[in-house]
Amino acid sequence: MRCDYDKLSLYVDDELDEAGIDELEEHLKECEDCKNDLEILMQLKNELEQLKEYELPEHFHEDLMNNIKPKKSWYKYYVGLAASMLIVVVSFTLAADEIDSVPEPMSIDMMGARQVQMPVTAIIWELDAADKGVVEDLKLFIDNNKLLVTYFESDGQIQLFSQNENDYISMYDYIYATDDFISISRPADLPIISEVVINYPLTD
Amino acid sequence: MNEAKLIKRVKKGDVKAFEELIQQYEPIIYNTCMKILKNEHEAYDAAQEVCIKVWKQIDRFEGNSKFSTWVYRVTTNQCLDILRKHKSQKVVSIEMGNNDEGDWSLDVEDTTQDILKHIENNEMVDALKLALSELKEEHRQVILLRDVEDYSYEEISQKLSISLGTVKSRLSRGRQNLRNILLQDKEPFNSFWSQNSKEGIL
Ligand SMILES: [Zn+2]
Repeated sequence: MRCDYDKLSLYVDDELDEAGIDELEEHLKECEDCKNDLEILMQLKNELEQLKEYELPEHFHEDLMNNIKPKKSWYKYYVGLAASMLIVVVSFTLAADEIDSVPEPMSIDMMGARQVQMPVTAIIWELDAADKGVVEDLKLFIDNNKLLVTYFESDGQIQLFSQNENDYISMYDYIYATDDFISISRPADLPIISEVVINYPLTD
Repeated sequence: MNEAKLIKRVKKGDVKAFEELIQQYEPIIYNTCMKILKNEHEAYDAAQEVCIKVWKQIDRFEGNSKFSTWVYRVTTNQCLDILRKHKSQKVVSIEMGNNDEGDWSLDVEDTTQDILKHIENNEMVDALKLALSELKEEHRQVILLRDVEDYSYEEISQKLSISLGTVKSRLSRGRQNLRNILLQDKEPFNSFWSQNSKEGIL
């Protein structure tokens, strides 16, 4: 076949029949000119696509505002959560082959056995960290800010908990604001945490 | 109320102020998500998530950059995360049939970075718009319908009451002319190619 810009134009629109595609692709193998033309055509097409303005779906704003909860009530809720224990389990994968062996989060009964007098349902927010450095940064943050957060580390896993609401919130905010953590359970549930039922022991 | 004041109020947890602030950004956020994700459903969810992040994470905005830049970053990060999560998604719709040499198959990461460059590059967009304006109306029309609005050949033929053959030839001619306008060695057209490695092609 001879060089044919019309065919290239049809090709980028996927408007050539199979025979046409075969013929053109054969030609492209040996024709640098057409290969260049094709590349420019594809670029033009991609760039033109960027000019498109998409209309915001009708209920977008309404849906959004339904999911926006006043921040205050969230904090209030935490104040009401006196002395309850919240656990954050951060697991990070040290090597790719360990992906399958992320440890199960420890149950709260095991950790707080002495204080816990009745069955407790803990909120476990599980995350993956990008690497160990991210976890080191988190520990540094906790130390530097003198947060009352205790943590235990085992192979590839760190378990953190705090009995202080404000410190917990600080830690939450830090994790939430850091892009290197990926939530396994949804952090978005935390601000509407009042929808989660938690049984917790009252201590003096 | 000006933006700085709104932001201050949002930081204090003022939902009304957030509503006023975010409404100006919703269309931009959604458009950016659509351009990167190319899927209405995903873009919708991503854009919602971005708006919620703006609400929750606004304390992270320290005012060192423009607020719009910060929102843009939150948006692109959200979208790139989604793309990384399903790496199998094809961002480039046109591939050569035989890509043994890998010439035409782009890595997702490269492609997304590419998309970002394009979205971010206003000069490029301006150059393209100017070039389009220099086209004959009959050429501009078909190109806009096909490449911007994504109409099929059939739809264009009906819309403009022209034959399919005419659609094909006008598109081909129009694209050739558009390319020639953009390839002129002068500003602003050089800006169009600066992101596109003109040298590699010509
Ligand atoms: Zn050729």
